[in-house]
Amino acid sequence: MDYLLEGVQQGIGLLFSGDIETWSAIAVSLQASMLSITTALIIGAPAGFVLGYYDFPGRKQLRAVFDTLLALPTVVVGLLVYGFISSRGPLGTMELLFTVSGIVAAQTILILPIVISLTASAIESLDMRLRNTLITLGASRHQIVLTSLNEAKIAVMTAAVTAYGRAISEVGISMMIGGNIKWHTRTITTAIALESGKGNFAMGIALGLVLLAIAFAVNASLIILKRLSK
Amino acid sequence: MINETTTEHFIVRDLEYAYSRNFRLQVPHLAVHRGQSLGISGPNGCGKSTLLRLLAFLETPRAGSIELVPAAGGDTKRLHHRVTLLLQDHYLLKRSVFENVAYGLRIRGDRENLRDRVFRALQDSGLPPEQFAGRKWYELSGGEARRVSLASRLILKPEALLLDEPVANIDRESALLVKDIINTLKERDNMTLIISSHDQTWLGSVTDSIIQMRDGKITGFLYENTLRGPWQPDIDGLWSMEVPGNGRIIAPQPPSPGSQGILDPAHIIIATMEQAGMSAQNMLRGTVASMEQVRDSDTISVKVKTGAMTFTCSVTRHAAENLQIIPGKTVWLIFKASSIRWE
Repeated sequence: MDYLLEGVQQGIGLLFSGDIETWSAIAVSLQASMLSITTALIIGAPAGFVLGYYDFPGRKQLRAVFDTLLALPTVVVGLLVYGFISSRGPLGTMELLFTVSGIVAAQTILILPIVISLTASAIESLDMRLRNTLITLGASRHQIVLTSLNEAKIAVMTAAVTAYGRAISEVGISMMIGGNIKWHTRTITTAIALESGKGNFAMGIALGLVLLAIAFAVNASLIILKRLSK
Repeated sequence: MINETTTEHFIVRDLEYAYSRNFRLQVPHLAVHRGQSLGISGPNGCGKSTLLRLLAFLETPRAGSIELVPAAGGDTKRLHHRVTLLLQDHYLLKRSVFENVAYGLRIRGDRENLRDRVFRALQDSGLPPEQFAGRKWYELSGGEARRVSLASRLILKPEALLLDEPVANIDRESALLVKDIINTLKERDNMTLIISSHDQTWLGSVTDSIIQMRDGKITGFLYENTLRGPWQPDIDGLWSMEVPGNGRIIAPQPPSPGSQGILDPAHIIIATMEQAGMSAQNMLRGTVASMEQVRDSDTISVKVKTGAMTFTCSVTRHAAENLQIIPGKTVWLIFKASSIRWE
């Protein structure tokens, strides 16, 4: 047990002493996860709205596909994206492999089904009277989309938080696509895996504490937003 | 009443709409004039709400057309900016009363004097603005929420306001308030109003004319009485229907046993004593249930309950005064069998 406690102490020390290597991994993780959640929300929220709002042929099947993709394994996404962006892949010329952009692209693919599926559920659960009310008040099509998303904002925010949690905590994609390159693509999770393997618990624990702090901060902000929106 | 200078505002032609195999709405022709207040009455499921939703351009007809005629030199902006409907099953956005009322103006990009206009709309809807503007959507009673919904439409100053059962499930005081609001809109803003309601007496107090609907069709105008039967052969080639608890009604032979008779209120004579030696074959004893002046006219609409049926009769104010009829008074309704027509 002592070595764990020592690890915690040393980890806290690393964080507060401003250890550059530790903070580099934190910065890369935050950068990649923020960009991927932003991209996923820009694409996924309107797509989820369409899936939850309109009735069109194949909607149920499409819904089932996105629901299934909620449990998409990170290594499978990593493998597929690797295949596409490696030098022999169809998108090899984009030189995304072993870059933060590559991680962002793969993480976006990973969390997009979460945003789409949970947003669709949120829209489906909206009161059926909302659409008619908005039309009678003169709302245009895009105003209906925005107001409906706003009406479902708590559920959409929950979708975003769930998706963000998946992005920041994944290892498989960051390892396979990022390559765990020190100072460049090493993230919190890949650094924990690497340092723990090397027996360097202090850095692993320091980064683990940061991950927990991020998770806590994100959930706390959701709770505050829920209260504010009441 | 419609004066001769009014122009058509809504023109419905050969309208057809169906939402199931069992229900089909058919309106061959209907014209609503600018500034007119038209009532729609009829039993549940007769198509009142569907007709209003079509007139509000919420639904697309399967056949036929609805034309919203612009005023001379008037606005031809989006239809939903010119017509608005207050749904029976109204809905408030999950935000404050102020934001609910302001929503329609905000999405139009019209923010001039927003606070004043929201407060005025709340005031017009009978809600003290200072007291209600800051409330959340869940801090309102059913009647208050309905009035907020009404305020969110009044603020838009539409050419036509459509109200679906605006006094359903609200207390008498609120119903009177809604009546005052509607009368103000008509007199002050000359707004075209189309209102559906089960309550014909209330409807008669806020509208110029009423259309009656049944099974997706307009069966008549004004305050006509529907005699649904069942009709059975009687003596001398005439037919009759039972008035539960109060005798029978005699009529000419209907075109089919399932036909329903229509009796114009103007064809009913009200007497305060039982009459003898009359050519009219129908005389029913009843009690005056209510009396209401038909808007802007000298006509009094009198509801008389006879057995299990209620008849609407129309008399002049002078006749009502002479007969000294008041609610609760026993009267006799007299009408000829030949005054019944068939639908």
